[in-house]
Amino acid sequence: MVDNVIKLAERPTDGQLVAAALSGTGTAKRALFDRHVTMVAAIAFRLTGHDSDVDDIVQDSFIGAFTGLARLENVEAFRGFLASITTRTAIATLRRRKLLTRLGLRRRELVRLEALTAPHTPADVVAELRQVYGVIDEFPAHERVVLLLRRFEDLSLEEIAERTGASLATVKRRLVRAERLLAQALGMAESEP
Amino acid sequence: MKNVTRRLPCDYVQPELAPVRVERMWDVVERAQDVRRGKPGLPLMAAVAALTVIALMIGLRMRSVGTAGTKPGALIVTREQSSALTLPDGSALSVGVATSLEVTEASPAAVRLRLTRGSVFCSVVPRATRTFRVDAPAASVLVKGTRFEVVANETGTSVRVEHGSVEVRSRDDQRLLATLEEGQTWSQRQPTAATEPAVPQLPTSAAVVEPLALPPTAAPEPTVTPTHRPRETPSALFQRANTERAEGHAEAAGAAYDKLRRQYPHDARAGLAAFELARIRLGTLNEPRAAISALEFALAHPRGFVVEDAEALKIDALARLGDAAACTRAAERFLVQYPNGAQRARVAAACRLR
Repeated sequence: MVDNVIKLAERPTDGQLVAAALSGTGTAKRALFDRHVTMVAAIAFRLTGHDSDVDDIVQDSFIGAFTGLARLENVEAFRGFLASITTRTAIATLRRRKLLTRLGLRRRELVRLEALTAPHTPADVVAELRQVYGVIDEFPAHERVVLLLRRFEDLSLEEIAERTGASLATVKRRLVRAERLLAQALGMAESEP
Repeated sequence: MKNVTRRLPCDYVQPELAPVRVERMWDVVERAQDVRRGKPGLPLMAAVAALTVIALMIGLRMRSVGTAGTKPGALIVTREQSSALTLPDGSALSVGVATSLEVTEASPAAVRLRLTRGSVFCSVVPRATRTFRVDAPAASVLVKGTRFEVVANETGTSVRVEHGSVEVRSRDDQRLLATLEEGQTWSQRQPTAATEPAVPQLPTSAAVVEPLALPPTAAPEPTVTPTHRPRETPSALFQRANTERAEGHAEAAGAAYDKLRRQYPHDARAGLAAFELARIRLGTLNEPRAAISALEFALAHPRGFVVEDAEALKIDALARLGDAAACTRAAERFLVQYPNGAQRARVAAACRLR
């Protein structure tokens, strides 16, 4: 019976792939890209709320991550490292987009929720997403991102600090401000973060 | 502890990632990696062959043009992959796909190239003591310092000037066909078979005892049609640059951003164009020095981008250049100026860890 068992090749860990990439194995980078592209695209999509910036953010994030591989102390932490780069790239994109809109160089794009959510999304989730994405375009980039990471990705304050490269105190301050902005935008009383 | 079985709202917000889209994104990432390593892309054979010919035969990269070792006659042939070369004086050639380009002269006084087919984009550094000439099938292009493209294909020859001016002359150098300024093009159609003179019929009987007096077989005098391409508006240039970038054509996008900021330095988009150009130069083309130059322009025209991002990018470029002292100084200034900035961690890491 044991003879019939076919052993599948073990899936290399991120750390093994990073080590291989650092030693010059080109296919390792491709494997890392394939493994994480969905996560990176999803972060970009959720934080910006639009599909149009996703490709640019994905490309810049992977280029940045591959360029900075040598400074990754814990090679197994590649996913977090990449997520952090993606978040910061998305913040930079949002800030640029805001400026362009202000200067009249970019048309304001409304978030199309039907394009944002999967068809099987429960009604209560759609309602919550609709509520937040409906007003969030007016928020400063940092506040927007902190709020989305907290509300929709359920990250802890420490995790948000790590993702955004800000101190814990700064994250707390931004979250308070974001919640206040949200409450004002929705015409509600201020809520606790 | 988090409830790991509950689906989060974020799980319902996912973009559509068709395989072709993923491949397109990977292409851009891979190309950036290739450029950073200085590795020729695919097909390797063609690129390696071209670079080897260049390095060994004319020493354009390795040696100074015009030294005793320079051997004119080198032939650069590309197939599906374009190739980029830099001459020792800083002039850059971008040899298009399916191109055959011969170096007929390479001395301190003159660089002369013969384009048989395909295209070459030349960015020529001005040098008063050196002429730079490209011979194409229908004309020769003579420049001092400019950026221009020559295309030779089955339909004819065309010249497009992106910056500066060029003289288009007949191949025998006797006639000036056109003087082109920035944004202008010149083209000449190849004579088609229909316009060629008919060959007289041989007599059907009797031996030919006298050579036939055939009419001259030279093509009829072509019509020279200098054309003035309307100057692109800043908006059109910006749009074109963005489209090229979205399609993964980093060099073309960079060229359009560069053109915008040079042609319209006072336009509201000029600073942003320079910033985007710097991102492309640093991120995709691995040209930190050129990126810094674009960033300096951007910082002098701070509209349409975040100054903090531009400062951080400049520090990144300094780190990439290996200029540790300048990088550290700039990073320290940055951290004082933006203690809670979004780019704080990136800047702090840039100089120390590269």
